[in-house]
Amino acid sequence: MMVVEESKKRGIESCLVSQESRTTMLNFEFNRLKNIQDSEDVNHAVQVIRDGRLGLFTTTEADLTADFLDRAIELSQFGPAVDYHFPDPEDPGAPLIFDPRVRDMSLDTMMTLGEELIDFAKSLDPAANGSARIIKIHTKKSVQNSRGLSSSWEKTEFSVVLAVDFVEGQNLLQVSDFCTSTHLEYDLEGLKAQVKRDFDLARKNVPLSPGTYPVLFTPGAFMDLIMPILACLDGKAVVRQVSPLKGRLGESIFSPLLTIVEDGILDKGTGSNLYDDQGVRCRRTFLVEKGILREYLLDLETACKLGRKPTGTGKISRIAPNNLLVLPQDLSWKDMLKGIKRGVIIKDTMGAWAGNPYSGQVTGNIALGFLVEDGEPVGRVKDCMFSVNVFKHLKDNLVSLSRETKYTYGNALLPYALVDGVSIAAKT
Amino acid sequence: MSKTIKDRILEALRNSSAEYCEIRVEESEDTSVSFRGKDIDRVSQTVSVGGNVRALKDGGWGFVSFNRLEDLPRKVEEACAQARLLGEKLKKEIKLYPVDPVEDDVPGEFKKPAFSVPLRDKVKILEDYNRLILESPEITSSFVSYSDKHSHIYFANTDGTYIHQEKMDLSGVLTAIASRDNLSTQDRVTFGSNSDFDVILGLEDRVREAARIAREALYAPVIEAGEYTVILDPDMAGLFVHEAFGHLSEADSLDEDERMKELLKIGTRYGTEELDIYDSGIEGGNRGESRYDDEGVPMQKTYLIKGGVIVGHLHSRESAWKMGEKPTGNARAISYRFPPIVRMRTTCIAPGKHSFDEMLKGISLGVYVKGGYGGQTNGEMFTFAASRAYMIRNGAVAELVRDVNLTGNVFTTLQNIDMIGNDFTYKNSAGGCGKGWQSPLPVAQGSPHIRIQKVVIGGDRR
Repeated sequence: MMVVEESKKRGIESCLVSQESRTTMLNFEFNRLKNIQDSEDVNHAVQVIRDGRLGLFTTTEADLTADFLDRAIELSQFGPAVDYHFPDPEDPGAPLIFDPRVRDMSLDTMMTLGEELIDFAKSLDPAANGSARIIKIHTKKSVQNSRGLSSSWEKTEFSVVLAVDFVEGQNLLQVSDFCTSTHLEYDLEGLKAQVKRDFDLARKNVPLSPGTYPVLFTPGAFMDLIMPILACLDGKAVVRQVSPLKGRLGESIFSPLLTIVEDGILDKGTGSNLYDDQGVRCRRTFLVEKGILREYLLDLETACKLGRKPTGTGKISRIAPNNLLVLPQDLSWKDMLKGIKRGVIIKDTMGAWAGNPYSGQVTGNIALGFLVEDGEPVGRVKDCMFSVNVFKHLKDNLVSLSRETKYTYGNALLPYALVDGVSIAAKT
Repeated sequence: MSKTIKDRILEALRNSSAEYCEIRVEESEDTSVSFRGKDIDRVSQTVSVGGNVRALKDGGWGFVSFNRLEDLPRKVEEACAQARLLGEKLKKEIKLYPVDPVEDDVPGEFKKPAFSVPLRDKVKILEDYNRLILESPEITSSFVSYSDKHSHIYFANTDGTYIHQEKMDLSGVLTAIASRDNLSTQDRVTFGSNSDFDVILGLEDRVREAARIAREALYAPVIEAGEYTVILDPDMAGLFVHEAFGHLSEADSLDEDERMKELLKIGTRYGTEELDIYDSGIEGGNRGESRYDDEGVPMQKTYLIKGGVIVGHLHSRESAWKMGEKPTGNARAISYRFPPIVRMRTTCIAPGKHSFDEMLKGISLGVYVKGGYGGQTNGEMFTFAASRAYMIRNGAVAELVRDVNLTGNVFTTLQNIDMIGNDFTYKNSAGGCGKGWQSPLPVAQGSPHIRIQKVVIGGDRR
């Protein structure tokens, strides 16, 4: 608290975010336990507003001193001009984000889990190479500001990751899946079943002609289509007028099937928190509701510039969702698949993140995808690229979303998505 | 200060109960400055202090990282205990390829250190570039970003090596963004160095050109999907060799996989006689290069392909021992929070004999790709996004096209390189390489123009 108290004495607004975490990770490679990694991390971020300018200094030094406040104040002379103030304290939500069973999980238990996954990988084929990661994280975080906010909380994360590599001639295959939660909850059997399904199916390559196809994007691949939307919802892009979504609140932009929610207080959501890194209470915000643009992702600065309320998504020097949800619909993904006469399942992509997000164009290699004929996947497609424009395809070509959802990278919980008219380039 | 750290490290190492133990401690200071549109977006500094201990026993590795240096003796015990625990389970013989112990103090040999430049001057330089971008016609916004890092790294191991290295790294990106209706397009200039702040100077013409391209891209069509003959400029060719072959040469993904070893066996042909590929930590001035890697092994220049045939791999001490080859100084970690793994440094295609005009000849319909936003590989396939691309029609560079993303099979694409240019240049850009959750690691590339047949490009269908 010394930093905040000292800043108040000097009549300077401040916000201090401190985080101490311990990560224990067991890595299995080449079908065996490779190493144990145990990391203790300390981070402090001192933010000050002096003479209307923001100063930011961060450090991993464990013991905070007034020197760090001086460094932040010194930096404020060059920092951005800001019109906002750090917020008054507000009562936070109470998401379930701490599970002592994760914190207390023993290395032996983690090893047993990993060994089970590796045994499973070996059972797929004697030549298969299994990799697994068992990860637990215990974090203590606190946010204090000069307006009287002082809050601290604990959080845990537990993840299980399995990848299976298989080489046949110049045919390289990798299938993978993972489970993640703030709690000790994982569906190992479901994970194994998914990996086995993909592994068995991917052993057979089938040709695919260039053309346009209906594509069933799995939740992980669907995230590639959501990423440019996120970039365009970012308050900084809106303020800078580079987002095509600028000035369009209340407008119908996407299919009525599409509802996108930022949920900073989702129970067991690995991105949930009590406050963001500017001391704003985390909350639940509809960004897109039945295709209509409702809100942007806003920190203190962009909310102030746009005359709106912050969404609790301010990170240190950037804006990012805490947990991003695309709300599910009624169909099961298997029923969605049955309706495809001739199409493609895209499970993993490569390089779809690269490019200009504000154009909405997403083009990527189909790293793991399957040809579908008469509602059944018949084999792996390779050496081809898909291309969609999210502003067109998620408005006019979004056929359905599944009722099942799954976590993908970036704390996103997404359904499967069936999109029609996807351009696929392939060797002729 | 350094002596204190050295004493602490060497004293703590004496408590090791493992076959092998190493300690790496880093002190660093980072500066970041960015502009978005007309406003300054960020000015921040970070002071980091931390370290790690890595221990090996009976084939099991223990690794702990920490921020409190006073915890060092306890951390050595923890890492050794972890290694012992794993070793008891594994009972596997894993050795590190022997290297001569070395005691060395490597002060930074910087042409112009970034940390000697006042923050006020850095902000001013970036502000000027930002203004230049925003003054350009039809440019509606910008993203100008710069960061530098100055670090001292202390490394010691139970083989008797103790090394102190002073390092610096800087990189930046100057992006012009044009908008019309609901379309935004962009182009950018990137820079980077491990020794010279002045690489940030004199970029005005390139910035103006980036602003022009961003503007022209507003009116450019999305490329039509298909299979094309492609010419890559040196920037993009460098990215290509990094993604398409560099990662495949990292021996920690081969050393316990007999099928992968067979696929990448020394003597296997993957290109024409003209194709030479190497990775080097000693070219001079490039991001990611230094005297020693993060296992204390001297960096060197390592040929991966000569005359189209595989002649080498990139190694850590562990992968070198496993494959019976020599360590190459490629064990690198992004920070003290991670153990070193096999990573590239400056990865290059050596110059060939062809001029750009020779490459254009005979292409009736193709694509000329200049610069890349980034790429990715899964070993077998690679992909990368172009920052600029032009159609080639009847042997001449024609109209600009946008949203160009290329893909290919690593093995067949290397065989499909049919011309290598004579105009080699290095590329140091912002960002870096990602692998095993360690990203972005500073790396660089070098290449001349290259021509490749039958590259698949995603895009619209007409």
